[in-house]
Amino acid sequence: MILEQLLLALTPYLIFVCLIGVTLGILWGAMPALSTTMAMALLIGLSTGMGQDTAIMFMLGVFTGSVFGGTITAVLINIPGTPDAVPTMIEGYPLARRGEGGLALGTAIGASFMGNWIGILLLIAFIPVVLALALQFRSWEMFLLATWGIAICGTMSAGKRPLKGWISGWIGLMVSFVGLESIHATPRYTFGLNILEDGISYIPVLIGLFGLSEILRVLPRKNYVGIPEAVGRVVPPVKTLWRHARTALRSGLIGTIIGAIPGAGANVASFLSYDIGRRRASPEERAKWGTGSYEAIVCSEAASNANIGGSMLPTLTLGIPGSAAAAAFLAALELKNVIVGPTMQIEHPGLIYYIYWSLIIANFLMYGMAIVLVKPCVKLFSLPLALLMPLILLICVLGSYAVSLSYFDVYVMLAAGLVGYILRRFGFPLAPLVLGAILGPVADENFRRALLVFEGKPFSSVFIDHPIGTLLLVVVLYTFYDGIFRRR
Amino acid sequence: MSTDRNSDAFIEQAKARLASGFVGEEDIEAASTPQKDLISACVIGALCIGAMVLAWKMPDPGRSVFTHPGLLPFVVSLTMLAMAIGLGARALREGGAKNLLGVFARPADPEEREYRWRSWLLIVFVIALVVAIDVVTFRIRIPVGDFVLRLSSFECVAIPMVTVIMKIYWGRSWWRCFAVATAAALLLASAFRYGFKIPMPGVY
Repeated sequence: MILEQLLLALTPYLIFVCLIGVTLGILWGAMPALSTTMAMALLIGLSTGMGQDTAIMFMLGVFTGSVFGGTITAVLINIPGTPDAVPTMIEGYPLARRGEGGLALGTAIGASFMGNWIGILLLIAFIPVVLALALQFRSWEMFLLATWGIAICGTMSAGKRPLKGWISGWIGLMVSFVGLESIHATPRYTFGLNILEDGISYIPVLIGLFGLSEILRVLPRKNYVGIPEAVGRVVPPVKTLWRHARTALRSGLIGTIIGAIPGAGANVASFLSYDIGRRRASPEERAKWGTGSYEAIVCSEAASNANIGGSMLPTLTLGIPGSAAAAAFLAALELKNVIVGPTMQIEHPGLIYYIYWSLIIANFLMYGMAIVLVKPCVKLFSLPLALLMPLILLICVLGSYAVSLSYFDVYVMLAAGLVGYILRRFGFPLAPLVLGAILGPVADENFRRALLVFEGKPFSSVFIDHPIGTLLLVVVLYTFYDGIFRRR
Repeated sequence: MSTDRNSDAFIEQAKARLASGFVGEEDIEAASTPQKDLISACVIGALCIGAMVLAWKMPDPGRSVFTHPGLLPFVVSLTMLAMAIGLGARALREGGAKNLLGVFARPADPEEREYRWRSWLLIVFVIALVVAIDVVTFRIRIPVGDFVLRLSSFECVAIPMVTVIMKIYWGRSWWRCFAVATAAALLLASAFRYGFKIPMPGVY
């Protein structure tokens, strides 16, 4: 089955689609203010017209390409294309000023490639373990897992203000309650409107939150366009990479683990890995940090790219997205009627192998295209955001409409965009809201089913009969405790 | 060079962010002030109470409170109310009650003032674009040999609206904005309509 899926993934048409996805991703990521999540959210609409295999290949190509893309602007014009490229910017731009921009980018490309490999290999190694564990989960465990997913996402997204992250996640839960509930088909929060009875799809919410709200935030700004430094020759220096192989391995591990935690994406991974790397660097290497260190670039890039594989782990095995971009990938899968979660291997045999191969192919293509595209990308930087954003606005409209050919979804996207804009202005993170909207139905259905199972049983049986549930309950309570008392 | 002037400050800002300790996935520190937090807490708290009342009033066709449709919405609203109270309490401790309405006051910085009115204008344009595509409904079919060229209200609304948005925010000549808006709208519509076989919104 593994070979069958490899042969399928190696179809010239699918490789071509992946190449387009990677190219689009790199170009998108390279444009300042256009994030990976935004790319993924907007392209869900486009993927509706594709077949299942094509859509998966395309979305994973975009995901892989856009995470790297942010590095180009970070190094060359001191503006991180994506937020996770900030540490790379701190180190890469001083190198570019010294005329070593090409070498810095080459190191970043190599580190990204290695980081991706670490993420993919760990994903392949751990999926069977997590799947086996996930099959033991019943309603109570699924409810607790969904709650933990939203809570940890809130904690990881909001930094020192976890309360705001949790509120955002809880708003997402409330959004998911709109419509006919699953047991009695009783309308909830529909206010007598028939159109709300089907509920609110989280895909237009995702497009509104990460597409429209970003347009509203960025377009009114009179943006400054940087002047790229001379790039120089872009060749990934094998010797430099070999010297930092241990660093890359450690950073890749950090990136994968962080990626597996819901809500913690490439941003947390790259910052954390950079910080740990600085502490563990030799004194002479540490002296270079902040003024142009290749080791620091390896730390940041390997971690942010390994994050892709890590974020796929909870997404595919539990149906809990590891990051906002993974949530968009989950949405694209759902549109293709792919139900991810513990039973994925049974319901869609072989699909998981296809996803592995797609990630591997996307990684190889990213490596090649990154080298090819760096110089053409420089020209792109002169394109003002005021030119691009109105066009992205049209993609938001068409993308949200294409999901179910309902114009109501466009209004949902509009409302989500406006709410997202206000929430951002008031300092609320948006990723937990999306996660809440995705996991709300899972939490609701399993919570009430679990209560019915527990009905008439002694209270202690909740803990004794469900050891995994008890463990999860402790984890959930600890997450809240940690957020309230330790992150002040 | 402008790049050099900005770069050091930008890098220092990024370093300060790194040095500040745990960095969340989304950088919300800069947008968070005690005043904003207090206002958010009040609004969210009020919404939570409304949601709790609605959840309580939901009809219960089942035999058990455990299957009550409003059970989880009630619990979620209640816990969110507790979070809003926590947020409000922290904001009050940090002095959020002082100059509370300053959040809505006219900013002293002229750049920020300009950003604010440009934001409002953009919001109006976006709402107008979305509503107009829905309200205006028609379709034109132009046979060109064997091929039928189709135009819907999407293109007819999107082209002028995007032209105006570009004129205001990009600031180039009307003709250039019109050309880019037309090319983009037609290209996107064609990709969806012919490439992905997705019908356009705004047709009857």
